Amino acid sequence: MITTGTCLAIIGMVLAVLLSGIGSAIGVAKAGQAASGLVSESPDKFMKAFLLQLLPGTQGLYGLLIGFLVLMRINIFGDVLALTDQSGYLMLYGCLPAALGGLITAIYQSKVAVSSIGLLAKRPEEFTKGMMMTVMVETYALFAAIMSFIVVFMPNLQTIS
Amino acid sequence: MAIVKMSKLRLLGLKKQQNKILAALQQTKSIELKKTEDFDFLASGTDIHNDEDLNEKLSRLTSAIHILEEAEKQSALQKTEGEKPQKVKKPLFSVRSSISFNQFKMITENEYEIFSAVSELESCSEKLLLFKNEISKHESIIEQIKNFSEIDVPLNMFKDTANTKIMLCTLPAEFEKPLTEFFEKQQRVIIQKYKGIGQVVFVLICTKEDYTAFSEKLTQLSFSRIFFDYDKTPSELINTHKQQIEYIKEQRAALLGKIMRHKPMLSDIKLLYDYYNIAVYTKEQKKNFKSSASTFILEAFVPEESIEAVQQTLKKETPNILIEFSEINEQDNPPTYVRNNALVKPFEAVTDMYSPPSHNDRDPNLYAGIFFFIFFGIMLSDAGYGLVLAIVCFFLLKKFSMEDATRKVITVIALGGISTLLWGTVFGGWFGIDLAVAADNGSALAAFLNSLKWFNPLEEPLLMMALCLGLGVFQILFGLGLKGADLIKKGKTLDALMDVGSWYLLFIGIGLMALGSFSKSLPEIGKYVAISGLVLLVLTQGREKKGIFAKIGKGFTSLYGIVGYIGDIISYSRLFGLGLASGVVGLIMNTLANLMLGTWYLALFGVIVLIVGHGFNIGINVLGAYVHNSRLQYVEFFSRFYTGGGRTFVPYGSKLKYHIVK
Repeated sequence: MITTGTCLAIIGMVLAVLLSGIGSAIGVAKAGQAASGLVSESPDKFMKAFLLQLLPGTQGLYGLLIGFLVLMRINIFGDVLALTDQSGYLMLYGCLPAALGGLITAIYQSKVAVSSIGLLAKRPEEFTKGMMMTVMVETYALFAAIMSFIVVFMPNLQTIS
Repeated sequence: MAIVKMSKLRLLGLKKQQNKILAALQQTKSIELKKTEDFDFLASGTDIHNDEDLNEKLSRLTSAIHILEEAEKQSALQKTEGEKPQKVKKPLFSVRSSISFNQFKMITENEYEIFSAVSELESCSEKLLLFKNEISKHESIIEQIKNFSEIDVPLNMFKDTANTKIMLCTLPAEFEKPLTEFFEKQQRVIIQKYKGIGQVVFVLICTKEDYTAFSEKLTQLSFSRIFFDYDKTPSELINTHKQQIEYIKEQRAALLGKIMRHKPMLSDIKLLYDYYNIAVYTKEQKKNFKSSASTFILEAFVPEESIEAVQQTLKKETPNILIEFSEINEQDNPPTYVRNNALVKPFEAVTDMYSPPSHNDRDPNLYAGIFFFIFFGIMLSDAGYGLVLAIVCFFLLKKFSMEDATRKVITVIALGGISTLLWGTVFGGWFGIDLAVAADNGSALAAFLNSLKWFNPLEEPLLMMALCLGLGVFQILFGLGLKGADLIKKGKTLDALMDVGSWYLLFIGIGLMALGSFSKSLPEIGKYVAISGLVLLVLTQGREKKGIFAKIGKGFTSLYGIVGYIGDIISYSRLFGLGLASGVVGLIMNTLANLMLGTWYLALFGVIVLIVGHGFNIGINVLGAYVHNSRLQYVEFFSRFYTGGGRTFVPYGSKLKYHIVK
């Protein structure tokens, strides 16, 4: 049976997937614009620029996983659990770090990615350093995803019987 | 699988035999020219023969090739009377033609004929341009007169007489009504209107005195008077010009035919182009030689295994030569020549996209290849897709010839298809169909395939996650291990123990601690192992610093690396994520198609949805799998032990645009 609690959990899933997805989309798009500019001048650098473009995409992935985890917990593929309001709120709040963290870190990570593409243009041999700098921002998306994971996964949920 | 050992060749020869020697070296396909070191008392090499028009020849040949290819396209577009246009067949994969070295050398014997053809092509191309300009001139006149085509008197008749104004004018279409209204009320005026394009064309005849009264109104309506010099009516003029255009077009077709008669020359022109391309490169390289009055010295990189062959070829060419082979030393920057067996070779495409190995690196292709193969299957995760992918790619490889680089990428994808087939069988995914349901409905095939399944990732996500992260931990530890092996090879065993060994202790310790469900004692042991790893890290990671506090301090901060490792491990969850994505989209396509196939009127759409939907899913997910997989290799694996930064060994004489020399 679907209760308010279940719906709250779904809202959490929506936020996790959507917001981190939007963040990644914006991030990858910005980096993609820089990459297109680079490739128009130096087509041989395409793969490296493409790789840098992809790096802000991780947040969307984390958001998808957290969202999927929420769905698993409310047993979406079988009898949907009838969560109490409190359990619903728990799922909702648990998704927030991944959602908001993903959104904001993705946008900032794309700024570093764009600069790294500029680095790739001027000094193609230092490509790895640019990549490492971009991946640094991901650490915080990672922290957010871990916290979301713990809150969504660990506690026992209560259902309305 | 290895990086082939390079050595240096130093050669002293007579200047008058220089070209012969260079041709022989080119034929070996085993040397790459480099800058000659030492011998500072000698001058840099210069060319005796000053071929300054080499570049001019190259550009003439390039434009001739372009003229021929353009003409081919043009004549394919034209339809001659009664004939069907011939389609220019472009091959699916562009590939260079292969020729023998003799053919390559001998092309200069045909140089005279080739360049006379080139001159003809150049003059034909000029004429084509003239034709083009002529046609547009005629077309623009027709454009001018089109508006007035209804007038049936010669256009130069609209001239004023002593007392009357006879005017040919135009007016914007929206002012037609005000014009008509105004002149209806007027006396002693003849106005004849014609239909124009977006305009009103009219002829106005009135006395000069009356005109002063009209002119203000006409200016208000933004009229403009047109003057023409032509002494023919518009329709006659248009006809004449159209005839001209047709005539020029006929001449043009004939000219295109004349150009196409040179088509058989195209391959020779391309060959001569390649020849001169190498000549220009050689001229550049000669600046790196050292020369005396009648001798010269050059240096080159040669793979060690080719030394014999190179020596033989040179000795055959001329006995008056001094050859010396030596070891590579620290200062040299040798190119990298990677050789791998047929299974590993395609994965060079993946590594080279990051960076080819430098000469001193370990060849990572075998390991990267194995991990890439394994991960690809998990990311695509549907056995049906894998089967389709493998069949299509192997078919492409068999049927079409293609450049080396393209062949490598398609082979990687084909192998990825096989990996997907294996993992898909294990996960029970076949084109997104639910095997359990199909088996219940009586399908024996489904029941069989179901029995091969290990577990369904959608039903047991935790197990799937553990699998992915476990593989990740394995690859990271493997990468660390390679770093350790490299250190030990360089003799820095102690460093290996401190840098790699301590992390290994930590990981193994944590791993043991997690196995609490299997045995009570393991976590205890694990705890001590992990702690020893931590202590070792704190003690040794700061060993470069001076002073006991700095050493311990740096050791503590190195523990921050644990966060980095956690990040890298979690990054492997993308294996799960991507596999999930392709599985779910496949499921959606099936659900949609099922809905449509249930009704008779949407059945056809259902089939289309299936084909297009699954096709799209395969395409997008293969791209994603390739790229994300590459990213895992580069960021999480290579960063442990691989620097890259090398450049590929390019044999002298192999960088041809249109040909490959056998």
